[in-house]
Amino acid sequence: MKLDENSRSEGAAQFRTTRWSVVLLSAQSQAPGSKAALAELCKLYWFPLYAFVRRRGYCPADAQDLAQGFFLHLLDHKSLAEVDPRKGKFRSFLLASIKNYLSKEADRGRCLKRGGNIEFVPLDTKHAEDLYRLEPADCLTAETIFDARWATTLLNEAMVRLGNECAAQGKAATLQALEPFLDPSNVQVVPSYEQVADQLQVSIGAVKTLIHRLRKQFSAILREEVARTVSDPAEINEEIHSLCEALVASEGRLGP
Amino acid sequence: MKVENRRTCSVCGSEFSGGLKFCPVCMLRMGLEGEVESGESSASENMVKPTPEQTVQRFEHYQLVTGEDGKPVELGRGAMGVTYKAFDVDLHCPVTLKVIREQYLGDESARLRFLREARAAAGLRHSNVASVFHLGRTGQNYFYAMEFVEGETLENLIKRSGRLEVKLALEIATQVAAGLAAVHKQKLVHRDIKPSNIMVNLEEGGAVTVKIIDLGLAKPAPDAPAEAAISIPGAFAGTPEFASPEQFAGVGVDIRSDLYSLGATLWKMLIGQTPFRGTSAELMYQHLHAPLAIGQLNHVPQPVVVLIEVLLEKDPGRRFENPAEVLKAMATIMAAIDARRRITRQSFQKTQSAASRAVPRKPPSSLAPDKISVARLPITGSNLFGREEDIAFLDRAWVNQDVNVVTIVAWAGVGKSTLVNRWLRRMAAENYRSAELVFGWSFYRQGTGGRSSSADEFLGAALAWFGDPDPRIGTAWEKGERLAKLMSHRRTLLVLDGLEPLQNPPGLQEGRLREPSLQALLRELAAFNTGLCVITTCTPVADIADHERTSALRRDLEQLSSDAGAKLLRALGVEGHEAELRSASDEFSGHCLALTLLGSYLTDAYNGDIRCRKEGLGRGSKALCTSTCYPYQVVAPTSTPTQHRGATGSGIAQHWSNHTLVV
Repeated sequence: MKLDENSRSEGAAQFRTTRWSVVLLSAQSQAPGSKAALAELCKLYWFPLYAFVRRRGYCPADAQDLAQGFFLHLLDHKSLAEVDPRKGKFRSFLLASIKNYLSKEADRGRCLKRGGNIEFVPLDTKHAEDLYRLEPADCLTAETIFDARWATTLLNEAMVRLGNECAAQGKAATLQALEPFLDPSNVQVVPSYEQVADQLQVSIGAVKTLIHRLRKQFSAILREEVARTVSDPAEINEEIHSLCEALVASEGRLGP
Repeated sequence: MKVENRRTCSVCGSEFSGGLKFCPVCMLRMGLEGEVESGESSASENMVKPTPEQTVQRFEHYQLVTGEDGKPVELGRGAMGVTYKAFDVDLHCPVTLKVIREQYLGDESARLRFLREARAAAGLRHSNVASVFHLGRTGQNYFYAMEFVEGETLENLIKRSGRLEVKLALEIATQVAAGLAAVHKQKLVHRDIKPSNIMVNLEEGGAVTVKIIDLGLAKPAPDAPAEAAISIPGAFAGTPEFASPEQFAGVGVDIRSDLYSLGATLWKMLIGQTPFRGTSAELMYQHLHAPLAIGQLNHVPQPVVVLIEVLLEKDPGRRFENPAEVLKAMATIMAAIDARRRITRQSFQKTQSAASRAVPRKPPSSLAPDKISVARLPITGSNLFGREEDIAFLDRAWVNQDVNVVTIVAWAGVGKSTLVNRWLRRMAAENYRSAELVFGWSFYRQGTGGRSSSADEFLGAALAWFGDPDPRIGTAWEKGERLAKLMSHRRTLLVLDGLEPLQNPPGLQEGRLREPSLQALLRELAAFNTGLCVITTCTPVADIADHERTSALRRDLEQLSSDAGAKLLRALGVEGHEAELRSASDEFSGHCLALTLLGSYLTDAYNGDIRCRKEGLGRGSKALCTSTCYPYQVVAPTSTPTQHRGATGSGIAQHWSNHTLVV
């Protein structure tokens, strides 16, 4: 069985900003598009899982099979029915589930390719392995890598969404000019307001307003992305703090 | 391929991959409610925003010390923490407290980083680094207590002095390098070495104690923290005036970055100003691209200029590899300054290769001593002839665990100090062969008319240097015992040069030390010492005679042989038949100082012609007579040692001629 890419995306779109718990409940009730949405959410966080499995000592081929098998297992109707998503974060849920899955697989002897090579969740395994090889993370635990990777994945997704939204609004050039200002730590070389004002043909005051709006927009997208992975909107701040902590714990050892 | 390219965020202090265009922690924090406020530079929001005054006055048993205005005495303010002077109400002693900044209260990532920083600092124990000894909590947040360092910042010292004496500047740089060696050992990088992060305690007697403070903190300049940080494109951790090119480039930094900052600090000590000046952007450009204005160093000895050039190389690969290499280079530099010799940067490499070749009896330690102070030893020439056996004797004494004290005995001018200095240079070239501490002291003050220093002066300086909490406490005997204890449990090389002024003259008490403190010190060291104490004196030390031939060895230094005397004369530029040179050496009884004076005189006045050695006497010219007679006069006291008390060979030589190559 292989889902059609288009139908999956369309179906999943309605769950774009829905909390993972709702998606899961919908999937349990077999609501249209819900399973695809869940698969998409899983796909989004595929690399943290892959990195976790690799760090646990599996070779690239086994890690790919295990990750693929894990998603199939997760999206299996029987397995879904057993999950109680009323409490907890998607991140914690996935981490606990993969640990459990690896333990079961180990009991069975060796990882078994599930689904007869059917690629239910298309994963960029080659790219993932390239990324993993770049990580000087030998001294970090698998859990630390997983959490920190989760944080960077979430940030990347938020940036991609910001880019898409700006493009859709015809503001791609504005985003390009103002992107350096998005970073609160000013790591990038920041042009002067005058330069940006000249470039965008607006006043300096307008530049400041645009920067403010861009930050607001990014912040909102970021919160939406975090919201998808928690059970309750009240947990968003806590999850952000946890992810910050995970990034600090990774000591900057994970690649971009 | 593994990538270790990391950067440190100047706002939150966390590390992140150099491949990222932004700090992920700061970016994530944008998702927190209320984080995004305006379109102004967000770094300025985080850093310029005034923070409420610290209201907590007590942290566990530490009470913040308040000033006249009733506010806590703030010692410093970094990106994430504030340091206060506090008082330990249990132990009744001052401490420094570092408290997390109010704006980071409740921030898990900041708290975690603060905790990690405290643990890293606590793992580092070194006499040239301020120690962290307590981690505490107030509510959910941490604070830590560290050693309160007496003295003043190097920045203040430079402000007061304008510029420092070369010798003092090198001593400070050496101690900072020793501290950095410990930092490096812990796999840390300070990232903000600069005069305001170096505490200097100048004690009576000229001893200097230096400590690095604020370990592992990346913080903006103290005068204008916010502006200094935000005006720099590609914000970095550090202080622009002292930051390395790689810090500006925003790429990962290692200990060599700290060595660059040490170079900039040394420059400021010697010139009174930093190598580059200007706005942050100008500074960045200059550190990255501009050549050094070496002309400003024209009053600085050439070997020090070479040292600075290597430290301030823009390419880290062309700097010293680590602080231990700097310490090794320091020995080369001191020797070159003493000998008024020029060096090249290859001289440092020679030192390293010589060290690696030597490996005679015991492989040299990979680590330099924790602390070195040899600035109080006399300046001597580098030429040494006919002393191979004596050097080998000292080598054997150092590796022999049963030998605790060695006394080199000879009349003044025979070359005791030169011998020990030469041996010390060999030791230095091999990282002092696993010595943990090296301390040298001369009881003669060089260049001040041969005045000797007192035992009290030595005890005070040495106790402070070895870390005694209060050198004033106790009787003289107790102080001596305490000093012996402080040094005997760490492999210490102690050199006491010219001990005779503190010994009794011929008679019943001949050779006995007059001061109880020194009696206690040497008796204790003779009985137990994991290192070695090397003494030079005209008279054997009677107090440790009981240990002679067991743990306290005595070496009577012979006059130079005819062959060695002739070699010395040749090295000084004297020319002539070998037989005549040997004959001249015999005429002066192989007296090292006399031959040095003679050689220098002949070189200056007679193009080094050995046949002219009696010319001055023959002509009766007053000036020449004075000069040529002097070597003979120097030899004369060898038959009556007591007449010569109060003067060293190097002291005599300095009196005789300012431009003479002295021994």
